[in-house]
Amino acid sequence: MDRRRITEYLDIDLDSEMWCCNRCGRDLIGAGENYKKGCLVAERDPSEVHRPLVEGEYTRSPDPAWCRIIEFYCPSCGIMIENEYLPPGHPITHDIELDIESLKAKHAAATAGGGDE
Amino acid sequence: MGGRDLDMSDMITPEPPTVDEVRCMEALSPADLEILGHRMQMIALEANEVLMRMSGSPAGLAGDIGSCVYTAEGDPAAAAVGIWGHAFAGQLPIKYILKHYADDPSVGIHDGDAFFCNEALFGGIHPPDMGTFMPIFHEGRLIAWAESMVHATDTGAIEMGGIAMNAKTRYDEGLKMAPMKLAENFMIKGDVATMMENMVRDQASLALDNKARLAACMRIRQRVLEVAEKKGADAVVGCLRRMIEEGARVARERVAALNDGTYRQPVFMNLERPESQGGGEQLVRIMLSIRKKGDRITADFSGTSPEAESPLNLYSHVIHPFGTGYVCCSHLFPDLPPSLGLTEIVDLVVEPGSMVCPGEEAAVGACPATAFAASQAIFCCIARMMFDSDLRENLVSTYPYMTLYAVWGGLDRKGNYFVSFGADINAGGFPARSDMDGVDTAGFNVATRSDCGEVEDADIIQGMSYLFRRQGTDNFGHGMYRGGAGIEFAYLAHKSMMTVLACVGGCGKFSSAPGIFGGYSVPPLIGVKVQGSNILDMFERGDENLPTSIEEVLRSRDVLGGTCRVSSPMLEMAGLDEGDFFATLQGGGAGYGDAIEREPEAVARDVEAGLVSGWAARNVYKLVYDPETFIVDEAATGELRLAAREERKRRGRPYEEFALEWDAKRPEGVGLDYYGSWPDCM
Repeated sequence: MDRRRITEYLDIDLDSEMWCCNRCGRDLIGAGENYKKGCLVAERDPSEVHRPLVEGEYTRSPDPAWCRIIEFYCPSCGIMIENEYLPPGHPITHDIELDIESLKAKHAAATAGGGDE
Repeated sequence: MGGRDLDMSDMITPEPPTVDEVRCMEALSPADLEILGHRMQMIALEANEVLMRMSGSPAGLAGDIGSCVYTAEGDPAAAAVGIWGHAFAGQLPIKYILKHYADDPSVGIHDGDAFFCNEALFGGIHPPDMGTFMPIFHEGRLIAWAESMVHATDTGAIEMGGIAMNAKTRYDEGLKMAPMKLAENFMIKGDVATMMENMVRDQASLALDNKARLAACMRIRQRVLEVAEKKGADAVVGCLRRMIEEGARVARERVAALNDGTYRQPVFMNLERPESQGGGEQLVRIMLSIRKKGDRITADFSGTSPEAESPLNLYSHVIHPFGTGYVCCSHLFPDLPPSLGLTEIVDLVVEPGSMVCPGEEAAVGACPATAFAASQAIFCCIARMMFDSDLRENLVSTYPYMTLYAVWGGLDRKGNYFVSFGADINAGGFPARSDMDGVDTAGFNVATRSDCGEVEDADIIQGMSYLFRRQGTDNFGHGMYRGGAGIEFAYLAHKSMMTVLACVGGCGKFSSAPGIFGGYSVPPLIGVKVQGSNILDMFERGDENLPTSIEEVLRSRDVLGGTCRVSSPMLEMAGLDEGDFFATLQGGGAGYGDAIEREPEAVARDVEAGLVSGWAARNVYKLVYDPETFIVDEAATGELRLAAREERKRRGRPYEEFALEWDAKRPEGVGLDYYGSWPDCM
């Protein structure tokens, strides 16, 4: 199976053209899609991650009215694949949109040349 | 009008080689290129040393400087930092001088001349970044330019310190000089120097900096001419252009090996509008889409908030030296000699009227803050591009966002007038990487070789004492690899006859330093101003309960007495009485990877060192340890982390179901006056 490791937690299976979890191997969604659509998604209050030092308007934790933490998990192993700090309702970012055909061609050329990992 | 030539902002890419340069390059052997190229790097480094040792500005002494050898056409060929932006930002002023003054008999370009510029509309950065540019002639032939730049303490703006946060337009920002002849026959022109000094508050620093920059340029000239005498002027001309050409060639090869695609990252800033302008926090967005195809990268900032009535506007040519140039030189190609050639692979797209392409009247004094936000977005996009490549070890999360730039002044204990700035900005933590934590209190994002100075110097020379300065707890982004720790500190007015302090900050509500691949962001910063307390009495009696951190200040408010105001790091210019203090932070680096995959012993070490709180160890890293011995309970930690994964699976919802609810939300009660239309900033 030809897999490219694209990020710390994401592979792309070049045969099936699927995003996969690097840790458990689970298929997430088609490689042409936003991988986040294949994840479980949770909205978290920033104070669950950044301890407020004091009560009030400025606490050292992001203001929850301004900022929420959106976490994306592998549905199988629960690893956090990515997160985003976003104002409430701000569109989720399609942060990696790869040219799959180019990726396959590059991988094929490298494999043919014996120089790939 | 006014001699402006705004079309020149597109000239931030290398000039095509001239016929003469092609001839000189062809005559240059590979061995000579290697030797002379290295020599040019050493010349730039030597000039930086001259600059730092002679500068009169605290920022200059702290290394917020840059020097560079340019081609005769005005392209940066061999840079030394300080600040990458300072080394690269001479190209538009030099190109302006070549285009408009070379044949102007009232100006001209002659041996021994040196020009000055600090005006963004003519290719400068922001008013405090003052640059000097000297043509280098060999037997009457222009063969190169020398450049040096220092961040000055004051520009005579409506507020002291060079960055006037109350500025609404360019006319509030003080000294803004289009390229102008500062020296002739290797001497500073007395009338010009007097005019400049007369326009600022900190005249001594400006006078000394003018001399320091000229000295650095003259050192470059001296060394370049030594090379020309020994190897011939053609060798200098050929080498400088070839360094750029070779840099561009190798950069293109490496970029071609990265995965084609589109990579996106928004970065949000919350800006505290000054009280004098109605106050209130405002949200703005820098939006970046990087399209990579073949050996080209297009950095498209469409979707960025519109020009604001604030000094955070940024002319797009500044993105190159502060954003793409920095990323290219420091992270994409750190092993290559830094030259303009390394950035030749990048094409910029900006929307006229946006924060990154404002009109001519815009205030731009705080534009580096916006440039740094842009660079954060670049780092995130580049990291996603670099992971699946041989460059993986160079990728990073993000640097501490510039939320802190403190300036102060007054009358020192001897009655002398002083203006200074806090070099603590240079003690931020660096970003986490794919194989290691970020470096603690390492530097400043675009000034990787700068220094935060000594607290004793601040006390003796700069008229400000420190109550404490230390590495902060949880002052970075958590992750499998955590960001480097930033610092926290408190400025204390003590034994000066008069002290005023301002802090250019922001992002007290939102983090502008995103993590990568599941790493968390750096938390927002705060400012704590304490007035009328009994802190000096505690000093006097050697009270062991003197606070040594912001958390301790907040905990001991009752003991300290007086008033305590918690705010964002933004502090408008105001007086401090004897014993008043302002505590704040410079952030750390952002995290990399999922925190529950962090090596448990590393978390325990951080807790023991005071870098990670017990709260974060339990709640973020899911660590079980003995709080007395800091020995990890591996089995219990493993169980807790497993439970955390299961909890995530219970908490998480399928994307479509989540989006249905999320998309209906709006940021209620959030200032959107500067944002543009919600949510796309159109």
